[in-house]
Amino acid sequence: MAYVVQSSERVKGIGAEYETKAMLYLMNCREDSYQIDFFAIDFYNDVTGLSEQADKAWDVQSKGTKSGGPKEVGKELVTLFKNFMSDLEFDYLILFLATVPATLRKDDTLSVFGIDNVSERAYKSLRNGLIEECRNKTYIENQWLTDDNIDAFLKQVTFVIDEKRKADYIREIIRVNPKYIPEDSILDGIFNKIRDAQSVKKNNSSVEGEVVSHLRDVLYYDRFFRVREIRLMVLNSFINHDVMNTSPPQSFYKLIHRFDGIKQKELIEDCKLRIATMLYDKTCTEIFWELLNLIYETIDKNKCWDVDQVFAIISNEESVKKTRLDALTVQYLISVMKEALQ
Amino acid sequence: MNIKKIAFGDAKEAFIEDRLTRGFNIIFSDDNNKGKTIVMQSALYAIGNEPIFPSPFSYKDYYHYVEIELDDGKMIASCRKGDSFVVRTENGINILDSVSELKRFLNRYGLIFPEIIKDNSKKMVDPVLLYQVFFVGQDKKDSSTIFNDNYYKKDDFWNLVYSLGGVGNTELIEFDDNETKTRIAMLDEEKRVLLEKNKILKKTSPSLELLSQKHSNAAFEAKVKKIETIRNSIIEMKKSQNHALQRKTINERTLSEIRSLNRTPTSGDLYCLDCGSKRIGYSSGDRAYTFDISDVDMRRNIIEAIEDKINAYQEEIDGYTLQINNLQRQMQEILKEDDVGLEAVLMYKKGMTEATDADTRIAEIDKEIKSLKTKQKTVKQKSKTDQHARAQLKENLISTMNQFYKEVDPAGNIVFDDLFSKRSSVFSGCEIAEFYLSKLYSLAVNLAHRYPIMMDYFRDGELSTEKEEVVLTKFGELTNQIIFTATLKEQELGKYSSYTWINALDYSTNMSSHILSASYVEKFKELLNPLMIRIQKDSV
Repeated sequence: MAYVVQSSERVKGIGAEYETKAMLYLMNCREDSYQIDFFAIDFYNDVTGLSEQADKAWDVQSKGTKSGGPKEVGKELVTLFKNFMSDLEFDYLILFLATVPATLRKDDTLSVFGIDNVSERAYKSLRNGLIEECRNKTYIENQWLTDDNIDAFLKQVTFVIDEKRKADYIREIIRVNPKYIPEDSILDGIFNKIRDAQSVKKNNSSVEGEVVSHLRDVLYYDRFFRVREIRLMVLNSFINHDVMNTSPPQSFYKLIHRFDGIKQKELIEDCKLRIATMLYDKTCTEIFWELLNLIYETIDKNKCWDVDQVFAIISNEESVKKTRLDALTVQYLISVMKEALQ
Repeated sequence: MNIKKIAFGDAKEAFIEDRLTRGFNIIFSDDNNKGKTIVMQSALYAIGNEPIFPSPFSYKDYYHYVEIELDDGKMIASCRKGDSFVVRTENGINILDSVSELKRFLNRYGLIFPEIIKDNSKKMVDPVLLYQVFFVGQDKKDSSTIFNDNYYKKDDFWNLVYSLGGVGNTELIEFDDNETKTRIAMLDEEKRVLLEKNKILKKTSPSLELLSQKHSNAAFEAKVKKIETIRNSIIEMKKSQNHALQRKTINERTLSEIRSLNRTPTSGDLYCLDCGSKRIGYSSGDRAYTFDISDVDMRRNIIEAIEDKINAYQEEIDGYTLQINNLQRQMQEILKEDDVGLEAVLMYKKGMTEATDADTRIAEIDKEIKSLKTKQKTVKQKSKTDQHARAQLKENLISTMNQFYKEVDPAGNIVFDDLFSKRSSVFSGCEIAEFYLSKLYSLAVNLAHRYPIMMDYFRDGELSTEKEEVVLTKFGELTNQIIFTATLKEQELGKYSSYTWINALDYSTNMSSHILSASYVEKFKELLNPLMIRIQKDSV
């Protein structure tokens, strides 16, 4: 069993934006989104979502450019068809589209649909488009192009039409207290951050022609994102967007209620200054992510614990000690994260 | 901005006004001393105003609470006791312990405090000045100047008005001047010499032990006591000042640390050795986390916020310096008096009076150094078009005032030529009410501001019913929230209920000279609960 990595591409601008949207669609907008643990970027296809053991795969081709008829849509299916025919098993084959031609759908209220919702006339030119494109590509063998294969493939394809703005996708990533959700322009900025990181992954060492034998083999290449790191990045952007001016959570006041008002304010200011310094210190990046990850996971597993309990559990962990933050600052971070994740 | 609720009190007694509407509100009663003024003053005191409460009301002992709705619909609840504020917004609770911090916070949140040029430097105006654009209190009226005329002056009010009218003058440029530099150096030297000569000034407290044997003299004791009170206040203030200085230093240190961390570790460009192309992709190293911990926005927010804090602390420090200097002057006055003929005092005084001259000189030097330093940044003259725009705004303001006045009082013969009267011709009687009403109206119309228009005792000087009619109609045409108060004669009671567009609030049933009542306490506590303020009986 071998799979040859071919036809990975470099997309700029609008194309890149839709690849990010496609990834965020997989991450948050499907009922089975929770099963996805990481994404292969520009490896098997534009984006491929994979479960933790890589035993389940959601393969996505995205198309950001508008216009074109059903035939154009058919042409876009070629990489999905290649994967369908390959030795690896992709459970879902998804074509993520910015728009579709007006005549394509039978019921045009559906934004997620299968081939059965494609009108008869459109179906024909779509099918022709696919076959034509397959003939053009060297990585599609001619003997694959049988009616049986193509029909079986088309039955398995899901078409998804993008209906959301960048900011909407970001809001979907993590449920937080409305206090911490920034305005749309900032959400767009976060989206762009993900997009740029995705582009960097694509520029990493060329994988053209590499041979892999299992879906999980993408992990040997630096071409994947963990769902968790995206979520953590978004959470961090939310809570620390304006760290000096964000008012502290009530649960933090409970920890320092024995001090008088002026001292309380000072303690808070000190915590914020220490966090601000951490955020600036590029040498601390990894350390700080590990700390946030630890707090996030501890809170996520033990939702009803209060700040003290969370702190007691994590205070001995290596990733807390490495930060060299004082106890109160760590507790401040815990209380902010707790409030955000309520 | 609209005021929704006003409340004040402590654990034993309280008062709550929650019937205010967005429209025209008149608070009235059949007699004076029903608490109308306290309600008006308390509302703005809670958001940082310097109040003019009726003297028997010891406002510093109570909590003052106000709930306001900003122009964009956001709600703010602010509670003040002494100089501490707790402000609750949709984003949570904030403790602020000075007016300068409060105004910066409110400014960030949407209640804008404009910047004006004062003493050659940019200054964010304080609540005491801003609120005068829309509020006129009952007492201490003086048509020739602003209320609380000490730090701020008339000119500052004008600058504020220009700034609100969009034609402010707030650009500064720095220029380097060798002459100024030399002068500063000279003054520094003179100060050093003076301090050297008069060592007594370096002593933190006068050595009163010398005098303590003479305690039989009552006058002397009184004097010592007075001196001690002043000395204690000075010490307290010095403490607070040092404290602010310490916080400022901490913030400054962090800022410079952060700035040094911000440097990108790599320098130079990457290019292809074969073809020289700069189009080179970056490949991330083997890292567990892809993203940077902070982005440009986050980093910019941090720097701005810290700089803001540093400014607030500096303002606090300057404020203390002013107060301390005042107290020191008082202290010197007391020590100068001759009525205590005790040799001991004389002995002590001798050293002191000699030093006093030096001290005055040093204070002068300090002042000059400071002004020279700020002068190094001088006001940049804006183009002539702006001056023209300001003149135009002034003309409009005054002509609206005169029109309004003519409509209210067709027989009147005053012609306004400024937002203030000449010092020699202060208005009296009902002229004063007419003057302030014209001013409030003109500012509201010409600046098109959205503040509530508040006037305590708007019929000052027995404004007649016909005139009042015109006033109510003219102000009723404005879309701002309006809060007026009035004392009605017996035969007039109930007159406002005939106006459908006026929300009349009757205070006649309040107890005379005691608006606070135990019946409001529970509700008052509920109001303060979301601000995490718990008031206890024994704490009062």
